[in-house]
Amino acid sequence: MFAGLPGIGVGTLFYVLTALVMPLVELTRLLRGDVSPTRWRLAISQFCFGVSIVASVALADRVLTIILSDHSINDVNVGRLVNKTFAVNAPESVLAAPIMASVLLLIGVLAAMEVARLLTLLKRPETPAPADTTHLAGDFEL
Amino acid sequence: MDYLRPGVTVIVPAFNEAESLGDTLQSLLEQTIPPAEIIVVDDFSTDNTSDVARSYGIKVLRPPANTGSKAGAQTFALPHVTTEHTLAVDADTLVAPDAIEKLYAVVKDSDVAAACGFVVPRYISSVWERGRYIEYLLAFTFYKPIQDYFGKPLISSGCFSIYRTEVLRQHGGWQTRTMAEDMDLTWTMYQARQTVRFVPEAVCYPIEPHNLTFMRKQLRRWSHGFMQNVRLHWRHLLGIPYLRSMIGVALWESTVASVIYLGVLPISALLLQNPWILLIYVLDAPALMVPVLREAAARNEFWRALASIPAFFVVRLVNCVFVLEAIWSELVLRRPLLVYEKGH
Repeated sequence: MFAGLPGIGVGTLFYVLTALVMPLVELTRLLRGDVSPTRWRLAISQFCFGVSIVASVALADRVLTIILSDHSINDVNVGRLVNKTFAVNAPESVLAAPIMASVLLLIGVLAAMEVARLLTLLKRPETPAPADTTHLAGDFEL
Repeated sequence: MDYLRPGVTVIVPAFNEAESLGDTLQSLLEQTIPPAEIIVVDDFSTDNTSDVARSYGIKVLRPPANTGSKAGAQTFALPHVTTEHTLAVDADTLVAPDAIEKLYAVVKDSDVAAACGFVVPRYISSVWERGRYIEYLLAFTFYKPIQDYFGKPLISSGCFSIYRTEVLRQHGGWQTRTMAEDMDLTWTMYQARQTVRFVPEAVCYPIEPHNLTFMRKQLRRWSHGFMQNVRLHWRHLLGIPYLRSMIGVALWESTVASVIYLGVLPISALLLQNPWILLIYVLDAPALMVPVLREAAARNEFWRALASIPAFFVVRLVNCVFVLEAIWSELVLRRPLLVYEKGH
């Protein structure tokens, strides 16, 4: 996720999702009359990275599906987790299971952080601090 | 509070840096906006670090005894700073000719507390340097601009960052309580509702570990530093949106990744006798390659980056060992790493 810390794609997924949201954040700001060409450029460039990453993973999935045998694909078919019928009808994908695992881990971590925050708030209510208005996009919940 | 004049003072902490210090000082002297002052803190070196600095006409400070860490040396120099902004540069880091100008443009006449630049390894030869090169290209091209957009760059990198001197003094300079003083300072600033920025146009070139001995020291320091900072700041960080998500994801992902890469994958491949499982080691290669090769192409380094990508996976695997060791000793045994081992 950053230099010195290993990752399995969860961090990348987190940032890809964030990058995909950036133009929407900018659009919201535009509707409120806050226009910044610098911010738009950044939002678009990171959004393009996000889309390209999704496309490259999809392409790699197709290539791997072709290279590997049907048996290997069925071994990792995430549809099997639901039921046999679903597994049969689910699209062939080698990467579906690892991606699903990453998505679940990401949701779990973000939910855990939220629960931890609520627990600390319950333990010791904090007085609200003044809003930080100086950074580019404002506080953003994820 | 002393009167601070406009301008930038550069602090260069140095311990036995005679070999690399000259290049660093030369790059600082050739800036498009020259610093008001450059201070080298010779932290009780046993080589001729002081002589090298003086040969460039640079002011040298020497503490009464070795401070024991980079943070200690930097903080020792802070009372001597008389300008509104302070730039921290490592003694092995070259700074692009316009780097200070680019950083200063962002912090000057604003309430930005700190700003950091784009980091690229100076030498890209060994597997360790190549792995680090890819890590940096990925982080500084894809992750850090997003973090900056949401107002929370994870770290204002210690090797090259500019700070408002008043803010530095307010926080007592660089603290020695963790092995990652730059992360500690950045997160402390966020707790104080201060702004940190990432300026990709300001480029610096540090020397990265070229062998496993130095890499081991650096990774140990970074892994322990991260865990120490999580332990130190977690309660306050939970109240900072986006930052808490980033840190939570980094902590859990690095833990899970280390367990999977070092244990689950090799054992599963052996037990199931299915070598295809090992593909998971490089499963994120396509995602990694997009920002890395795009940035490398812009820097005319496409083939060098492409050839370096396998090294990224080697370094990542080695990272896992140190992350697990840091989690075990810092978070489970509560035995913090206390000795600062220099490793670039």
